Amino acid sequence: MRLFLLLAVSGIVSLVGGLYFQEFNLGSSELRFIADFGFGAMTLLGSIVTVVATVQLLYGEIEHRTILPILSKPVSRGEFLLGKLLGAWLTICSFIGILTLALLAALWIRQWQMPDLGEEALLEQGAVSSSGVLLFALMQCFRLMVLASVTAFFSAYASSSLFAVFMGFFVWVIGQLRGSLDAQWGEGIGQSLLKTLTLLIPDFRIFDLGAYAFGEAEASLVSLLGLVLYAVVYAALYGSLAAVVLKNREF
Amino acid sequence: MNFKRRLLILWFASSLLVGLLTQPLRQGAVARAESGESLASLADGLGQGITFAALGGYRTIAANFVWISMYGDWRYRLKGEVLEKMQLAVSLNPDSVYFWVDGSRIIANDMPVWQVGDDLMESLFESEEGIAIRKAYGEQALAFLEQAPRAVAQRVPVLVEKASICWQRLADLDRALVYFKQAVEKEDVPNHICRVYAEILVKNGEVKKAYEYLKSHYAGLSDDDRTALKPFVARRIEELKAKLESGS
Amino acid sequence: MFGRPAPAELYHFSDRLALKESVQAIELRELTKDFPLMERGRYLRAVDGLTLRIPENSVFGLLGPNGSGKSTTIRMLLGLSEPSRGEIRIFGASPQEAEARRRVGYLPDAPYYHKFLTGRELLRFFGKLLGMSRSELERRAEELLAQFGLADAMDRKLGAYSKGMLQRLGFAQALLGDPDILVLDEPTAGVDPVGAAEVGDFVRGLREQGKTVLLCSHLLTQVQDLCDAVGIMNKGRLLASGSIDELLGVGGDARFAIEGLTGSELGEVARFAQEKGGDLVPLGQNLEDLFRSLVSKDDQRGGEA
Ligand SMILES: Nc1ncnc2c1ncn2[C@@H]1O[C@H](COP(=O)(O)OP(=O)(O)OP(=O)(O)O)[C@@H](O)[C@H]1O
Ligand SMILES: [Mg+2]
Repeated sequence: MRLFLLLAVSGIVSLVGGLYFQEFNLGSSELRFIADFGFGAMTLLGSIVTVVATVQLLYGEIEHRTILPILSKPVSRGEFLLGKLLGAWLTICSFIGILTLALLAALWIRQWQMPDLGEEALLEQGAVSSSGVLLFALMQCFRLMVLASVTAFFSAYASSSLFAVFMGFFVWVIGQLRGSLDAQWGEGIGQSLLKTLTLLIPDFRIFDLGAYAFGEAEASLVSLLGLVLYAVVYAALYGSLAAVVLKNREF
Repeated sequence: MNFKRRLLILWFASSLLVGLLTQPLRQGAVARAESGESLASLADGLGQGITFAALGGYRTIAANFVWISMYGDWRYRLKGEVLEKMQLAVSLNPDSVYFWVDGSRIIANDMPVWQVGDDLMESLFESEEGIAIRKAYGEQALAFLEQAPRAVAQRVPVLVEKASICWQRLADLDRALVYFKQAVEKEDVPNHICRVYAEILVKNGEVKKAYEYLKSHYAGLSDDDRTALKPFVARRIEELKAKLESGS
Repeated sequence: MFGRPAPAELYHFSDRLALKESVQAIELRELTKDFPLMERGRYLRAVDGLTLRIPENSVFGLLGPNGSGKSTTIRMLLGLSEPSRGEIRIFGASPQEAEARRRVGYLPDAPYYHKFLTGRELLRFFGKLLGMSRSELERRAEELLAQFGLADAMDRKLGAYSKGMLQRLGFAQALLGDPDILVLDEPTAGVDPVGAAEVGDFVRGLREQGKTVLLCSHLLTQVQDLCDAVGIMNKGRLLASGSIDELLGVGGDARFAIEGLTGSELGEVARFAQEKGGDLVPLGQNLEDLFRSLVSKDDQRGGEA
């Protein structure tokens, strides 16, 4: 929880940082700059919160053996895991929620401070739409839900929290790079091998909907639902794998 | 031991299956994101911190920092560094219209001055040599904008930027009109751009076209839009009409 | 040592005990647990072919030196660990079934509770896991906390609890769901002598309420007073099991303590016994002596083998 607060504060600080740095930017795309900082905070700090919270919630119980009295109660291991994942997700969502509120507030304050944003300026960066911000935040929640499941899988398997944390971030980074990876490497066998390998890891980049907030892309309901479905499928996959591991684990 | 192996196989098989099944879902989302960004172009100029930030999801932030540090070089008029960092920033975050527009302005407006020096600024519009320099940078700015991903290139600010480069830096009204035309056909085009388009048409001698365009523009204006300046447009239409009649 | 059959074959009376009472609360059949060691293919056999029956409404003491496999047995009994071989039945059901576990209360061998919760919150949390209704839960939690002398401390964080307080909280937690079976892994660990005596009274009280208790303890004198039957383990194997009386030979097998004789008189008694073809067996009448001799003999045999 202390970590949670710490990160929430650093998220807000990074927003303030955004407010500060836009000074350099000759004032011409302030809102966008602030929003970028907010989105960055959600992504990076959100991933930290997710991995750390999930490892703490799940592996922490195993490490401190507090799982023993819990599992001796009439709760199945699957139920236990589900409860933990929901707890982790709740933490994630509230974290993202705090940052979203801070971001909207920062945007609103800036917008209010410069009431006659000339047409010229508006034209340049387009206002940052708050519905776009909300959409981005929502997709973060889903993306981090997948990350939480992945981390839960490693937590259920791990014999040290460091391993679980490391693997969580490892998959996160690979998942971020995945999109650029298969565009990157050469042709022929290497390429098809890589294509197969990239299929194994969820693609985290596709949840980056920053462009919607800046009115640079149109959100279609179908594609959004597709993303949500993608997230749910992967969360379920890794959740089930975690359950399998947990069922076979000794305490 | 045995369990480990079984788990690995289970993970591999189920991940592959899910990966294949979700491929259509992913592709839809990727189509948008795929905008020519490649790791190689990033890796070149990135410092440790920026690479880390980019990997961690702070890609857009990293781009912003690059942009800020670009302004550091801009103050000292380090042309090479500025160009490099602009490239880096747009490859980190190609979705930022601002980077494209601001970058092209730096190339088109600032760089020629850097080359000839502040004292000789006027020469850019006077001496033959100066004009050549101005036009060369104008073309470079256009080329820079041409790299923008399609979705960004079709946005009004980018189109307007291209148009005004052609108009003001290259003094090429025909080309400017091509971009303006594309811009005014967008739905979210601000009204003043439409009026500018009409004026450029007039300037280019296409008074009739301007008159007809303004008439159709006027028809689409709503009464309670402050930026529409309906009376002004109406007056202008009258003027053009008079001009056409006197001319013919 | 005395040319007698190995004790393991001698002291299995549990079957006779089982015949008397038909309902078995706990049944272990050929229970075996192997832990893989770091070297590939090698195992540590923590529990080895353990067969036990614990009838309903009795108190059973599982004894054994450190590392003899008591806690491991209990973990398997609660479904926390999967047996490598053998079977476990709790009122006829497998511990993998949640409903079977509902009938068992567990006091772990160390206080594995969340330090950041208060006593009351911990019971609330466990109550929810047990599916208790809110009002019932609140009532029962307060009642139990008061019963175990934690009424004043129930709103303090567990991190600030003393060892004994945590142990008492463990009792409260184990009793929360009003289980039929209580599995107490070292209930007197870290408890002062007064507290230990209280634990004894408490277990007796449980028997009176018709509950079945399985406990591990190193306080053999207390176990002797308290338990209806005991099992003695060493290195995962059950050396002896049965009712206290049977094990100590009060009843059929005559083994007496001789008191009030001098050394030379004792010598005469010994000689007399040998003349009659018998022997004077120095097995004590108390569980502690029995335990020691069984374990040391077993260790010796293990050493020879
Ligand atoms: N998870 C585990 N992995 C490997 N070995 C284990 C594990 N748990 C227990 N053991 C081993 O099994 C044996 C029995 O341990 P157990 O905890 O059951 O003993 P115990 O009888 O409860 O001892 P104590 O009286 O000290 O509590 C020990 O040798 C122990 O090292
Ligand atoms: Mg133990």
